[in-house]
Amino acid sequence: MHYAGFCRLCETGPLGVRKCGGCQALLLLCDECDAVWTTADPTASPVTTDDPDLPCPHCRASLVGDDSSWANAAEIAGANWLADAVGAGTLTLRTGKPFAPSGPAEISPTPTDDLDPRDEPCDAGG
Amino acid sequence: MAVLILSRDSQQLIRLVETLFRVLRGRVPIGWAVGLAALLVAYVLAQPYLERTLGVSLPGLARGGTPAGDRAPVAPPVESPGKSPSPATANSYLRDLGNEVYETPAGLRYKRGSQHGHRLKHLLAHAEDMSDRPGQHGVFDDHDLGSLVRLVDAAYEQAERGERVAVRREEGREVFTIDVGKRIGYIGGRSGNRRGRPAARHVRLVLQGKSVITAYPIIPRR
Repeated sequence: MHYAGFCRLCETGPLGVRKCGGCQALLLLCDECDAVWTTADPTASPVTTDDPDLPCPHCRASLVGDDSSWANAAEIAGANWLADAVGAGTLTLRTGKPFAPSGPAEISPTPTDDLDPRDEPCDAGG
Repeated sequence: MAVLILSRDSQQLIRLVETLFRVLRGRVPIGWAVGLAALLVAYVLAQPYLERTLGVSLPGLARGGTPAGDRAPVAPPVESPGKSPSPATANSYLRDLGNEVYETPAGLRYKRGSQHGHRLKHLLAHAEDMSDRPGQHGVFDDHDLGSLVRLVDAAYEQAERGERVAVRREEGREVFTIDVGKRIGYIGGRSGNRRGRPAARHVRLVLQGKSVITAYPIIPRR
């Protein structure tokens, strides 16, 4: 799973890059509390719901359905808004194992979140 | 739903008694067999009440639980993420509202959702460390689903009383940080493991309305 920092709402979950199985759009999805961002600004207000299907804000397809998945590197490179934010340095992507056991893991050989500021001793767990 | 469960439990109870009589036939006097059957029926009927009252998980003789009562036995869709949890105590604690929605006595609701498939599974996943999860992963000491649901209920009721709680409300959600006053778990994940799994005594509880989105141990930021 590629993730872009941590959720400011629950303060703990990694913000995974999720590909919607319906419209193929990429979004940022909190791997802990399911808050969703449709832009590259995770400080903006997220979309939240307790709808079990976690509908995509764009097309209402389920973001936790079988057709949706964590985006791979090629899919991220093909998403202009995300690639632009990464290129501009406003968003930093790292890789790590997703929380859900069934989630496809895409792990880099060397963990890249070691320098994440959320790893400082006083932070919350999640 | 309750009627259906009662009917199923009654059938299971009858089958148990029949099996008992078959096993004991010719081996013990009929009076003894009747007495043992009565004890068996009494145990099966009292089991949910005893579990609820004593807060323990008793061995089950039949699937199901309370044959008639305000808390119908349910079977939360829970599978162990690794270790073997015992959802029996949760069965007698939660009320089945149908459509895989389970309500606690405090009024919290656990529904389908999350990538674990159900919020109860998600909660139980916080009873296991994930040492390779990015950042920090709150891990409960307790591995019993019933105990975890009760712990979250108690923390929520404490929050409702305004005792040792911080709350943020945003985007339709309430994010509680509740000091339970005793160790409830530790911080795992990559970061927590690097720090020697520090102990946690706070619960982070995220609600949308009365729906539990997630709950886990934390060490709040200073």
